[in-house]
Amino acid sequence: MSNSYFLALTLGMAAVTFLIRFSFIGIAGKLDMSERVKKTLRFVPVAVLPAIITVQILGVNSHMEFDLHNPKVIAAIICTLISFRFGLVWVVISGVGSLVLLNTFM
Amino acid sequence: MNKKAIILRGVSAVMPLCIGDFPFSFIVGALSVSLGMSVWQSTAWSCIVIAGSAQMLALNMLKTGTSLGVIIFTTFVINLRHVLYSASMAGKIREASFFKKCFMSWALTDEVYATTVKEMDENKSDKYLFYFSVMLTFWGFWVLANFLGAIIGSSFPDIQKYGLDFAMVAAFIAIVVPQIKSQACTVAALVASVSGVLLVVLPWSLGIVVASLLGVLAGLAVDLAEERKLNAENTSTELMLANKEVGHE
Repeated sequence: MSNSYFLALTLGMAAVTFLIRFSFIGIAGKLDMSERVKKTLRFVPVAVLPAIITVQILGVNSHMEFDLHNPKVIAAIICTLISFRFGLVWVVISGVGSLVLLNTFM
Repeated sequence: MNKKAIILRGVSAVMPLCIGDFPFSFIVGALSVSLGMSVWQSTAWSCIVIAGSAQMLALNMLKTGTSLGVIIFTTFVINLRHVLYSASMAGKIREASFFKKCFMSWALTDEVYATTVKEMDENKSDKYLFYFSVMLTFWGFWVLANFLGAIIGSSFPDIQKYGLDFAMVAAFIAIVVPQIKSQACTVAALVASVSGVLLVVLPWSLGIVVASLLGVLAGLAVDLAEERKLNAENTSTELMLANKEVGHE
Protein backbone atom coordinates (compact mmCIF):
# COMPACT_ATOMS: atom_id res chain seq x y z
CA MET A 1 0.00 0.00 0.00
CA SER A 2 1.45 3.38 -0.93
CA ASN A 3 2.39 5.61 1.98
CA SER A 4 0.17 8.48 0.89
CA TYR A 5 -2.91 6.24 0.61
CA PHE A 6 -2.05 4.66 3.96
CA LEU A 7 -1.73 8.07 5.61
CA ALA A 8 -5.05 9.26 4.21
CA LEU A 9 -6.79 6.06 5.35
CA THR A 10 -5.26 6.11 8.84
CA LEU A 11 -5.73 9.80 9.54
CA GLY A 12 -9.24 9.80 8.09
CA MET A 13 -10.38 6.83 10.16
CA ALA A 14 -8.63 8.11 13.28
CA ALA A 15 -10.15 11.57 12.89
CA VAL A 16 -13.79 10.45 12.60
CA THR A 17 -13.34 7.91 15.40
CA PHE A 18 -11.77 10.51 17.67
CA LEU A 19 -14.44 13.11 16.92
CA ILE A 20 -17.19 10.65 17.87
CA ARG A 21 -15.49 9.64 21.11
CA PHE A 22 -14.65 13.22 22.00
CA SER A 23 -18.05 14.67 21.03
CA PHE A 24 -19.85 14.81 24.38
CA ILE A 25 -16.70 14.81 26.48
CA GLY A 26 -15.56 17.89 24.58
CA ILE A 27 -18.72 19.86 25.26
CA ALA A 28 -18.66 18.52 28.84
CA GLY A 29 -22.28 17.96 29.67
CA LYS A 30 -23.53 21.20 28.14
CA LEU A 31 -25.90 19.13 26.05
CA ASP A 32 -27.85 16.04 27.04
CA MET A 33 -28.84 13.28 24.70
CA SER A 34 -32.45 12.24 24.89
CA GLU A 35 -33.27 8.69 25.97
CA ARG A 36 -34.84 8.16 22.55
CA VAL A 37 -31.58 8.96 20.72
CA LYS A 38 -29.58 6.77 23.13
CA LYS A 39 -31.93 3.85 22.60
CA THR A 40 -31.84 4.26 18.83
CA LEU A 41 -28.04 4.43 18.65
CA ARG A 42 -27.92 0.95 20.13
CA PHE A 43 -29.35 -0.36 16.86
CA VAL A 44 -26.33 0.82 14.85
CA PRO A 45 -24.06 -2.20 15.38
CA VAL A 46 -26.89 -4.75 15.14
CA ALA A 47 -27.85 -3.26 11.78
CA VAL A 48 -24.42 -2.63 10.20
CA LEU A 49 -22.81 -5.98 10.99
CA PRO A 50 -25.63 -8.29 9.80
CA ALA A 51 -25.83 -6.32 6.54
CA ILE A 52 -22.10 -6.87 5.93
CA ILE A 53 -22.24 -10.51 6.99
CA THR A 54 -25.09 -11.33 4.61
CA VAL A 55 -23.60 -9.54 1.62
CA GLN A 56 -20.27 -11.26 2.30
CA ILE A 57 -21.51 -14.82 2.69
CA LEU A 58 -23.96 -14.67 -0.19
CA GLY A 59 -21.15 -13.29 -2.33
CA VAL A 60 -23.55 -10.86 -3.94
CA ASN A 61 -22.07 -8.78 -6.73
CA SER A 62 -23.45 -5.67 -8.35
CA HIS A 63 -25.36 -7.74 -10.92
CA MET A 64 -27.52 -9.12 -8.13
CA GLU A 65 -26.31 -12.66 -8.72
CA PHE A 66 -25.62 -14.92 -5.84
CA ASP A 67 -25.11 -18.56 -5.26
CA LEU A 68 -26.93 -20.44 -2.55
CA HIS A 69 -24.88 -23.63 -3.04
CA ASN A 70 -22.19 -21.83 -1.24
CA PRO A 71 -20.21 -23.40 1.61
CA LYS A 72 -19.94 -19.99 3.29
CA VAL A 73 -23.67 -20.04 4.04
CA ILE A 74 -23.32 -23.32 5.92
CA ALA A 75 -20.16 -22.14 7.69
CA ALA A 76 -21.97 -18.95 8.75
CA ILE A 77 -24.87 -20.98 10.17
CA ILE A 78 -22.37 -23.06 12.14
CA CYS A 79 -20.75 -19.84 13.41
CA THR A 80 -24.10 -18.48 14.55
CA LEU A 81 -24.93 -21.68 16.44
CA ILE A 82 -21.50 -21.72 18.11
CA SER A 83 -21.80 -18.04 19.06
CA PHE A 84 -24.85 -18.79 21.24
CA ARG A 85 -22.61 -20.63 23.66
CA PHE A 86 -18.96 -19.79 22.97
CA GLY A 87 -16.70 -16.77 22.57
CA LEU A 88 -15.05 -15.15 19.57
CA VAL A 89 -12.05 -17.50 19.34
CA TRP A 90 -14.21 -20.61 19.08
CA VAL A 91 -16.56 -19.02 16.60
CA VAL A 92 -13.65 -18.07 14.33
CA ILE A 93 -11.99 -21.48 14.64
CA SER A 94 -15.20 -23.40 13.96
CA GLY A 95 -16.13 -21.08 11.08
CA VAL A 96 -12.79 -21.25 9.28
CA GLY A 97 -12.46 -24.96 10.11
CA SER A 98 -15.87 -25.88 8.74
CA LEU A 99 -15.31 -23.78 5.63
CA VAL A 100 -12.01 -25.53 4.92
CA LEU A 101 -13.68 -28.94 5.42
CA LEU A 102 -16.64 -28.01 3.25
CA ASN A 103 -14.36 -26.71 0.49
CA THR A 104 -12.39 -29.96 0.58
CA PHE A 105 -15.32 -32.35 0.60
CA MET A 106 -18.09 -30.54 -1.26
CA MET B 1 -4.35 3.54 48.12
CA ASN B 2 -0.91 4.06 46.69
CA LYS B 3 -0.28 4.64 43.00
CA LYS B 4 1.25 1.26 42.27
CA ALA B 5 -1.77 -0.56 43.68
CA ILE B 6 -4.13 1.51 41.53
CA ILE B 7 -2.15 0.79 38.38
CA LEU B 8 -2.11 -2.91 39.20
CA ARG B 9 -5.86 -2.86 39.82
CA GLY B 10 -6.43 -1.19 36.43
CA VAL B 11 -4.20 -3.67 34.62
CA SER B 12 -5.89 -6.68 36.19
CA ALA B 13 -9.38 -5.27 35.61
CA VAL B 14 -8.87 -5.02 31.86
CA MET B 15 -6.72 -8.15 31.44
CA PRO B 16 -9.58 -10.58 30.64
CA LEU B 17 -10.74 -8.24 27.87
CA CYS B 18 -7.19 -7.91 26.52
CA ILE B 19 -6.91 -11.68 26.30
CA GLY B 20 -10.35 -11.98 24.74
CA ASP B 21 -9.55 -9.39 22.09
CA PHE B 22 -6.10 -10.74 21.33
CA PRO B 23 -7.25 -13.07 18.52
CA PHE B 24 -9.43 -10.33 17.05
CA SER B 25 -6.57 -7.87 16.73
CA PHE B 26 -4.29 -10.70 15.60
CA ILE B 27 -6.66 -11.45 12.71
CA VAL B 28 -6.85 -7.74 11.81
CA GLY B 29 -3.04 -7.74 11.63
CA ALA B 30 -2.82 -10.91 9.52
CA LEU B 31 -5.52 -9.78 7.09
CA SER B 32 -4.21 -6.25 6.70
CA VAL B 33 -0.85 -7.60 5.55
CA SER B 34 -2.50 -9.97 3.10
CA LEU B 35 -4.39 -6.96 1.70
CA GLY B 36 -1.22 -5.04 0.94
CA MET B 37 -0.17 -3.23 4.12
CA SER B 38 3.38 -3.65 5.36
CA VAL B 39 3.93 -4.95 8.89
CA TRP B 40 4.81 -1.44 10.05
CA GLN B 41 1.85 0.18 8.33
CA SER B 42 -0.47 -2.37 9.90
CA THR B 43 0.96 -1.81 13.37
CA ALA B 44 0.85 1.98 13.05
CA TRP B 45 -2.72 1.72 11.80
CA SER B 46 -3.84 -0.18 14.90
CA CYS B 47 -1.78 2.11 17.08
CA ILE B 48 -3.46 5.28 15.81
CA VAL B 49 -6.99 4.22 14.88
CA ILE B 50 -7.68 1.69 17.67
CA ALA B 51 -11.22 0.73 16.59
CA GLY B 52 -11.49 -3.02 15.99
CA SER B 53 -14.81 -3.42 14.21
CA ALA B 54 -14.14 -0.40 12.01
CA GLN B 55 -10.69 -1.74 11.09
CA MET B 56 -12.14 -5.14 10.24
CA LEU B 57 -14.76 -3.43 8.10
CA ALA B 58 -12.23 -1.21 6.38
CA LEU B 59 -10.16 -4.28 5.43
CA ASN B 60 -13.26 -5.88 4.03
CA MET B 61 -13.92 -2.79 1.94
CA LEU B 62 -10.30 -2.50 0.81
CA LYS B 63 -10.63 -6.03 -0.51
CA THR B 64 -13.64 -5.12 -2.63
CA GLY B 65 -11.95 -1.94 -3.85
CA THR B 66 -14.17 0.58 -2.08
CA SER B 67 -13.20 4.23 -2.34
CA LEU B 68 -11.46 5.97 0.56
CA GLY B 69 -14.35 8.34 1.25
CA VAL B 70 -16.84 5.51 1.70
CA ILE B 71 -14.44 3.62 4.00
CA ILE B 72 -14.10 6.67 6.24
CA PHE B 73 -17.83 7.33 6.17
CA THR B 74 -18.56 3.71 7.10
CA THR B 75 -16.04 4.01 9.95
CA PHE B 76 -18.06 6.97 11.15
CA VAL B 77 -21.31 4.98 10.98
CA ILE B 78 -20.03 1.88 12.77
CA ASN B 79 -18.36 3.95 15.49
CA LEU B 80 -21.42 6.12 16.10
CA ARG B 81 -22.25 3.91 19.07
CA HIS B 82 -19.29 5.44 20.87
CA VAL B 83 -21.28 8.67 21.15
CA LEU B 84 -23.07 6.86 23.96
CA TYR B 85 -19.84 6.27 25.83
CA SER B 86 -18.79 9.86 25.29
CA ALA B 87 -22.10 11.12 26.66
CA SER B 88 -21.89 8.83 29.66
CA MET B 89 -18.29 9.82 30.47
CA ALA B 90 -18.74 13.55 29.85
CA GLY B 91 -20.30 14.38 33.21
CA LYS B 92 -17.80 12.31 35.17
CA ILE B 93 -14.62 13.92 33.85
CA ARG B 94 -15.84 17.50 33.60
CA GLU B 95 -12.96 18.89 35.65
CA ALA B 96 -10.20 17.27 33.54
CA SER B 97 -7.98 19.47 31.39
CA PHE B 98 -8.59 19.75 27.66
CA PHE B 99 -5.50 17.73 26.85
CA LYS B 100 -6.48 15.02 29.32
CA LYS B 101 -9.95 14.82 27.82
CA CYS B 102 -8.49 14.45 24.32
CA PHE B 103 -6.16 11.69 25.43
CA MET B 104 -8.96 9.87 27.26
CA SER B 105 -11.28 10.09 24.25
CA TRP B 106 -8.71 8.79 21.81
CA ALA B 107 -8.94 5.17 23.05
CA LEU B 108 -12.40 5.16 24.61
CA THR B 109 -13.20 1.73 23.15
CA ASP B 110 -16.02 -0.61 24.15
CA GLU B 111 -13.61 -2.48 26.40
CA VAL B 112 -12.10 0.58 28.11
CA TYR B 113 -15.54 2.05 28.70
CA ALA B 114 -16.90 -1.18 30.16
CA THR B 115 -13.95 -1.50 32.54
CA THR B 116 -13.78 2.07 33.79
CA VAL B 117 -17.33 3.42 33.78
CA LYS B 118 -18.08 2.46 37.36
CA GLU B 119 -14.80 3.71 38.75
CA MET B 120 -15.17 7.12 37.08
CA ASP B 121 -18.35 7.73 39.05
CA GLU B 122 -16.44 8.09 42.27
CA ASN B 123 -15.12 11.44 43.24
CA LYS B 124 -11.47 10.50 43.60
CA SER B 125 -8.50 12.08 41.91
CA ASP B 126 -7.03 8.58 41.54
CA LYS B 127 -9.69 7.66 39.03
CA TYR B 128 -7.68 9.17 36.16
CA LEU B 129 -4.70 7.02 37.05
CA PHE B 130 -7.01 4.01 36.99
CA TYR B 131 -8.46 5.05 33.63
CA PHE B 132 -5.06 5.53 32.02
CA SER B 133 -3.68 2.24 33.33
CA VAL B 134 -6.71 0.45 31.88
CA MET B 135 -6.52 2.34 28.58
CA LEU B 136 -2.79 1.97 28.03
CA THR B 137 -2.80 -1.73 28.98
CA PHE B 138 -5.60 -2.38 26.54
CA TRP B 139 -3.91 -0.33 23.86
CA GLY B 140 -0.58 -2.11 24.38
CA PHE B 141 -2.12 -5.54 24.04
CA TRP B 142 -4.17 -4.46 21.06
CA VAL B 143 -1.12 -3.19 19.16
CA LEU B 144 1.03 -6.16 20.18
CA ALA B 145 -1.58 -8.65 18.94
CA ASN B 146 -1.88 -6.75 15.67
CA PHE B 147 1.90 -6.71 15.24
CA LEU B 148 2.20 -10.47 15.84
CA GLY B 149 -0.69 -11.08 13.44
CA ALA B 150 0.98 -8.93 10.80
CA ILE B 151 4.26 -10.85 11.16
CA ILE B 152 2.53 -14.22 10.84
CA GLY B 153 0.42 -12.88 7.97
CA SER B 154 3.47 -11.70 6.09
CA SER B 155 5.13 -15.11 6.41
CA PHE B 156 2.07 -16.77 4.86
CA PRO B 157 1.22 -14.65 1.85
CA ASP B 158 -1.50 -17.09 0.70
CA ILE B 159 -3.44 -16.68 3.92
CA GLN B 160 -6.66 -15.99 2.03
CA LYS B 161 -6.49 -19.47 0.53
CA TYR B 162 -6.85 -21.01 3.97
CA GLY B 163 -10.18 -19.32 4.43
CA LEU B 164 -8.79 -16.73 6.80
CA ASP B 165 -10.80 -14.04 5.04
CA PHE B 166 -13.83 -15.89 6.35
CA ALA B 167 -12.38 -15.35 9.83
CA MET B 168 -13.56 -11.77 9.46
CA VAL B 169 -17.16 -12.78 8.83
CA ALA B 170 -16.98 -15.30 11.68
CA ALA B 171 -15.65 -12.59 14.01
CA PHE B 172 -18.51 -10.27 13.02
CA ILE B 173 -21.01 -13.03 13.78
CA ALA B 174 -19.40 -13.59 17.19
CA ILE B 175 -19.63 -9.86 17.92
CA VAL B 176 -23.18 -9.28 16.79
CA VAL B 177 -25.09 -12.37 17.94
CA PRO B 178 -24.77 -11.65 21.69
CA GLN B 179 -25.98 -8.09 21.03
CA ILE B 180 -29.26 -9.19 19.45
CA LYS B 181 -31.30 -9.45 22.61
CA SER B 182 -34.68 -7.93 21.84
CA GLN B 183 -37.31 -8.21 19.15
CA ALA B 184 -36.44 -4.71 17.96
CA CYS B 185 -32.79 -5.73 17.48
CA THR B 186 -33.82 -8.81 15.51
CA VAL B 187 -35.99 -6.72 13.22
CA ALA B 188 -33.20 -4.17 12.75
CA ALA B 189 -30.76 -6.97 11.86
CA LEU B 190 -33.15 -8.65 9.42
CA VAL B 191 -34.16 -5.45 7.64
CA ALA B 192 -30.51 -4.40 7.33
CA SER B 193 -29.45 -7.80 5.94
CA VAL B 194 -32.21 -8.05 3.36
CA SER B 195 -31.82 -4.47 2.19
CA GLY B 196 -28.05 -4.91 2.17
CA VAL B 197 -28.46 -7.69 -0.41
CA LEU B 198 -31.03 -5.73 -2.44
CA LEU B 199 -28.99 -2.51 -2.40
CA VAL B 200 -25.68 -3.89 -3.69
CA VAL B 201 -26.62 -2.14 -6.94
CA LEU B 202 -25.91 1.24 -5.34
CA PRO B 203 -22.58 2.79 -6.35
CA TRP B 204 -19.51 3.25 -4.06
CA SER B 205 -20.64 0.45 -1.70
CA LEU B 206 -23.19 2.86 -0.29
CA GLY B 207 -25.61 -0.09 -0.10
CA ILE B 208 -24.30 -1.11 3.33
CA VAL B 209 -24.67 2.40 4.72
CA VAL B 210 -28.23 2.82 3.41
CA ALA B 211 -29.16 -0.71 4.53
CA SER B 212 -27.85 0.01 8.03
CA LEU B 213 -29.86 3.19 8.20
CA LEU B 214 -33.01 1.29 7.17
CA GLY B 215 -32.24 -1.33 9.83
CA VAL B 216 -31.87 1.33 12.53
CA LEU B 217 -35.16 2.95 11.47
CA ALA B 218 -36.90 -0.44 11.55
CA GLY B 219 -35.57 -1.02 15.07
CA LEU B 220 -36.81 2.40 16.10
CA ALA B 221 -40.25 1.67 14.63
CA VAL B 222 -40.54 -1.59 16.61
CA ASP B 223 -39.38 0.23 19.74
CA LEU B 224 -42.04 2.92 19.29
CA ALA B 225 -44.75 0.33 18.61
CA GLU B 226 -43.80 -1.62 21.75
CA GLU B 227 -43.91 1.54 23.86
CA ARG B 228 -47.33 2.47 22.49
CA LYS B 229 -48.60 -1.01 23.32
CA LEU B 230 -47.14 -0.77 26.82
CA ASN B 231 -48.73 2.63 27.36
CA ALA B 232 -52.09 1.36 26.13
CA GLU B 233 -51.90 -1.59 28.54
CA ASN B 234 -50.98 0.68 31.44
CA THR B 235 -53.91 2.95 30.69
CA SER B 236 -56.32 0.03 30.50
CA THR B 237 -55.14 -1.42 33.85
CA GLU B 238 -55.47 2.04 35.38
CA LEU B 239 -59.00 2.24 34.01
CA MET B 240 -59.83 -1.20 35.41
CA LEU B 241 -58.46 -0.22 38.81
CA ALA B 242 -60.46 2.99 38.70
CA ASN B 243 -63.59 1.03 37.80
CA LYS B 244 -63.02 -1.36 40.70
CA GLU B 245 -62.73 1.54 43.10
CA VAL B 246 -65.91 3.02 41.74
CA GLY B 247 -67.57 -0.41 42.16
CA HIS B 248 -66.60 -0.53 45.84
CA GLU B 249 -68.32 2.71 46.50
